[in-house]
Amino acid sequence: MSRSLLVSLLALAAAVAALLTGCGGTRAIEKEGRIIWPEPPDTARIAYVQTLKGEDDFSTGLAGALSAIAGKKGVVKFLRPFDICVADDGKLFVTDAVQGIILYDTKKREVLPIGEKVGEELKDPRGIGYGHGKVFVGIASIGQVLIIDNEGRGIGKIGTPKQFPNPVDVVADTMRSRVYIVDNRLHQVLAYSEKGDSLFTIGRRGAEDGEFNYPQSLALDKQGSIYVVDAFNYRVQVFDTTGKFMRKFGKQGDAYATFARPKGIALDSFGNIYVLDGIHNNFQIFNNASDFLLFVGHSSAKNDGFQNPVSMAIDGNNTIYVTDNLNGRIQVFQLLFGQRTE
Amino acid sequence: MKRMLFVFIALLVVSVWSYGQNLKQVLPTMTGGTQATRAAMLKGPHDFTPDSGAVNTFGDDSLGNPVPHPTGTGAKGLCNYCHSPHVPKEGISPPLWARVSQVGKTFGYYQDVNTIPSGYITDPGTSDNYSSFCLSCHDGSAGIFAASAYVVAPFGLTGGGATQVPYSANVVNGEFDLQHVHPVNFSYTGFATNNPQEFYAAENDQRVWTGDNGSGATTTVRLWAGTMQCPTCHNPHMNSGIGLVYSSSYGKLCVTCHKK
Repeated sequence: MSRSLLVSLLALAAAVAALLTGCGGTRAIEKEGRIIWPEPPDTARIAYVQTLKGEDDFSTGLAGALSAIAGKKGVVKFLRPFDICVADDGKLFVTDAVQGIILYDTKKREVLPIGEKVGEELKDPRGIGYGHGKVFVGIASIGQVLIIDNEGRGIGKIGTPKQFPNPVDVVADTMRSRVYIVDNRLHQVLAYSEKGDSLFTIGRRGAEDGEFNYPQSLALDKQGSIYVVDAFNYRVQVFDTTGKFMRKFGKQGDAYATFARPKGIALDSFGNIYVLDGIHNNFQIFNNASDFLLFVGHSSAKNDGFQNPVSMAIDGNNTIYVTDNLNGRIQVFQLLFGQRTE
Repeated sequence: MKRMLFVFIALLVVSVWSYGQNLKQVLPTMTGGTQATRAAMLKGPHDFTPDSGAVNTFGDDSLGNPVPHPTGTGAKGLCNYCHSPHVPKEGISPPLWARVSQVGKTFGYYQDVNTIPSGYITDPGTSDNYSSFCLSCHDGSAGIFAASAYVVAPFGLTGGGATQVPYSANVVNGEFDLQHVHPVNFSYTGFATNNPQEFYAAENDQRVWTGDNGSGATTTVRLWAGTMQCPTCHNPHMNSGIGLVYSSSYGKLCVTCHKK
């Protein structure tokens, strides 16, 4: 009796465990210290590289000890990173809801809160983009996009006060010397010249093609086509360089190739499209025909996961940067092998 | 063998029953049924339908079916934005880069029809908590002010800028500035046990207190696995404002936990 009860209990426990965790998604395996996706026998495509936390990343050895004694240790660290962009010479620019605008310089090995030099009210920084030596930062508190130089000095502004209630993403198109602003209160994408002249506007609130319901982020491909995460329509819409609707993909759900809280978007050099999701806590990769390729990550504070990831960027070497908002860090990955295979 | 099977079936029945009980605990936030909840939410702050107030495309959501699935597609359902529908795994092509290792996977959060309340709490100190769900919008994106900057997640009682209530002074441009918020995602039961002179003991690990809300209706100040989460105080199915569960007065809500 007791043995059969035990067997039944074990069977039930197994069933419940399967029910609870069976849909948890494929987790990366840690093999010889490396975290890769997907698991064997599939070919490894994405590898975890490192975690960026802030000033402490460079505080090693004597210099670190000295700055610790001086009380400087860990002064600048990511707390609630929001948007990220990759500039020249190993510079990363990050907006952080607590820390403001942060320059993370991987070459000079320093982390600077550059917003302080602008001399403006910098509360609620949102989208950040880089082009031609200039940094473009959407600031919700003033409703404008600030233009600052590499050192953080203010150069100019785009828009009139309160024009952009929540500029959640700002992306520079260096080929066309343009700046795209995504505002999820206007439910629009607004195109400006780098000097701040209005060029054209895409969309209005709605669910039809070319309309948005809380657009969240934007990325460009090599041709300058515009990819917009249309968050509460649970889709990605693609527009040409004149703002004309081209195509869309995606739907809401809990399985792969679906979105629950789509946030960031980026493209690699092969034209593959990466979409970050703040509830699925992963990014999903699609090829340019919108075929689903892979997902990376799950809900975790460990290095194979995210907690409310908000934004992503991919540099020219196909290194992938993700602002992992509630984990207070930036996760870095490398695309190992991005070509399409059939 | 027969006996073993009987025991297994009995245990299965018990577990299904307890699952049903678990569902019942979730229902207080759905007072009046989904029709009433939906009606209350229309044009409210959590109505994200593109035309803010469209009658959504629900199927059979009579009161006898407390948690209906939306039959509509796309963005038209009012509930979809948080209670995301399941997607059948069948018919979706396998990931081209993971034809073996990721076939048939889902992302886990929506295995339960009550997704958010009961599906989210697995590890209150790190992740998968109810508050994280709220913060997936209230990080500066759809929720315009970055509550995530001030909510202590992950987690504890010593985050920046916390604990300034009441909130009424924090309305900016018609929206609530969530920069002065109460800590969440900590073990209230543990905290109250350790500080009995300051805090009332919770009734159990699912609620601090339940009773008359001052206007004749029953309200519950809820906990999730003993932890305080955003909806301990806020009902997300609100029509306006910040949806306090005990809305007759700020002070009355505070003193369900705080002795002074």
